[in-house]
Amino acid sequence: MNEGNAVMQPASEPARPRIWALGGGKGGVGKSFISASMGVALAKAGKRVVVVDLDLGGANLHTSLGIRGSKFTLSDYLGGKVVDINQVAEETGIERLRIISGAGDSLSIANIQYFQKTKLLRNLPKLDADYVILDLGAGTSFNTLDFFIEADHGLVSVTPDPGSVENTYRFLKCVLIRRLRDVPKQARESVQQLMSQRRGEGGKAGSLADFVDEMARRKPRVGEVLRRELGGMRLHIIVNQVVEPADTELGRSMQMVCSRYFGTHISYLGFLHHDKMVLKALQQRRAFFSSFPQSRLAIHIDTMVASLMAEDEVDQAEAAAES
Amino acid sequence: MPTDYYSLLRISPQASKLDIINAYRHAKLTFRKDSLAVYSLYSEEELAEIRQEVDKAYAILSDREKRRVYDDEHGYAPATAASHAFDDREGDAIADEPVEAAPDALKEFVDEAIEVKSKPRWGDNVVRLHQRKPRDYDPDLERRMQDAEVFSGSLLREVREYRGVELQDVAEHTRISITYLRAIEEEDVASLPARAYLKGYIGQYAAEIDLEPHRVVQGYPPLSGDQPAS
Repeated sequence: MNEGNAVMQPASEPARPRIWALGGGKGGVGKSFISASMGVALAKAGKRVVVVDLDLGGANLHTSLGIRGSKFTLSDYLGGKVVDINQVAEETGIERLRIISGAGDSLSIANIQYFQKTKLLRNLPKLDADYVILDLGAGTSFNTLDFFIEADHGLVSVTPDPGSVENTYRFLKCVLIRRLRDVPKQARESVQQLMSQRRGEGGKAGSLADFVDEMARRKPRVGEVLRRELGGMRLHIIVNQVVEPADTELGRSMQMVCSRYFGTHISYLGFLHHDKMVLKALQQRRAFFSSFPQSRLAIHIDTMVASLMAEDEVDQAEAAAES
Repeated sequence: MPTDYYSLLRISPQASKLDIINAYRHAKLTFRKDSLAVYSLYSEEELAEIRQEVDKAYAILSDREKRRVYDDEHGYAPATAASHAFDDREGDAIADEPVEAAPDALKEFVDEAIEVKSKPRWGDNVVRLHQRKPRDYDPDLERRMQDAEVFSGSLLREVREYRGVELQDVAEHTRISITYLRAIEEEDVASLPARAYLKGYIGQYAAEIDLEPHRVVQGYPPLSGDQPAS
């Protein structure tokens, strides 16, 4: 076991890595590609990074990085074959970037056990890295949502087509509602009461913003708790596979719609062009970002990563000031 | 509960007039009937309601006096300090941000269309789309646009002028020849391209002036059965 790094780390350094999660309702919108590319971008910026393939059952993050197989996979850790989570994080051939692969895993994210999920959630922060990027699979299973919610930044990739937009909203809705489960017990009871009452009235489900407003009217304190809980999430939209210039407007528009519909701020992080070279890089089994570091995609990824890093730094500075 | 106009348009209560115009245009695009960004969330009726709210918000916030009253009523600090200052203290404000420094096109735009004389971060705020000079809010025309079933050439021209879009700009943007565009506005059937092309042209033209392409294609008289004599 490699214990060098852990010992070397000075006590004053914030030991916990920042965790970013990539999720989204639909498959094929570039979650793995973006995870991998952001991982490479962070590593190039001098950060130690672990990318984790949580798309269990459909894992292909390793492919985006141009890696075939791996010695260990996440299952080895979840199943207890490997004790230290750092040991399943393997080198990618790119300096400072490691991967916890899901290649060939027989597990599926939907049916990992509760204790396995909590084990992973508890231990991800123990990874010896500055940044951990979680590549979540498509869909809205509770397990996927919980990893997304626990992350410091939740990134959602959307492509400019109705199916993707619809799934993105559904995903965000699930995330936010799941998040409301975490409120204190008393507030939760009020929430459930109002929910079942609204269902009983047979009216439309209405937007989440309406729901929170109504809660605030009935019980201002509970409404306040909900607003704080929802506002505490750092959610970002990335518009991927942009073809028409007008598609770039989608992100800003979705931001506006989210603020109205969900009553919470979801930031528009940036967009990525559709680029045939991505396919080419994949066919050549190479990480796109290392093959084409000067491409416009790589530059956009860099910019997004930089702005997230800047946000994290502000957070950490604030946290340091408070303590 | 009435929506707060500032949060509806996602601008700060200190927003400048330019910010408001930008936000208004963006909101109208976002909540269009065929907007991708609202897919699966809102019904057509709900969207129409939201657009009306957006119109109302703009009507209030773009009018200096009405905005002041609104701010008073809602307990916002007077926006005057930040955004109307330029109207009142021209000399001071201009001093550190010379208008001359702006590129010509922008200067013209800013000078003519909007009273804002100076504002940091030029690029962030200026409507780049054609350097448009939208006219003041016209509730009558807005209503007619929303209710229209027939989009005559003259209505299209009226909307285009209202949006402050030059025909030349539409031509450059869409690559449709200006002759055709003129013919579209004049409903000059003889000069119009074949029906199949025309549909596409009309759709693109409609999008350029922020109308819903489907509605305009359906409502453009030369495309419906009864063609006016040329």
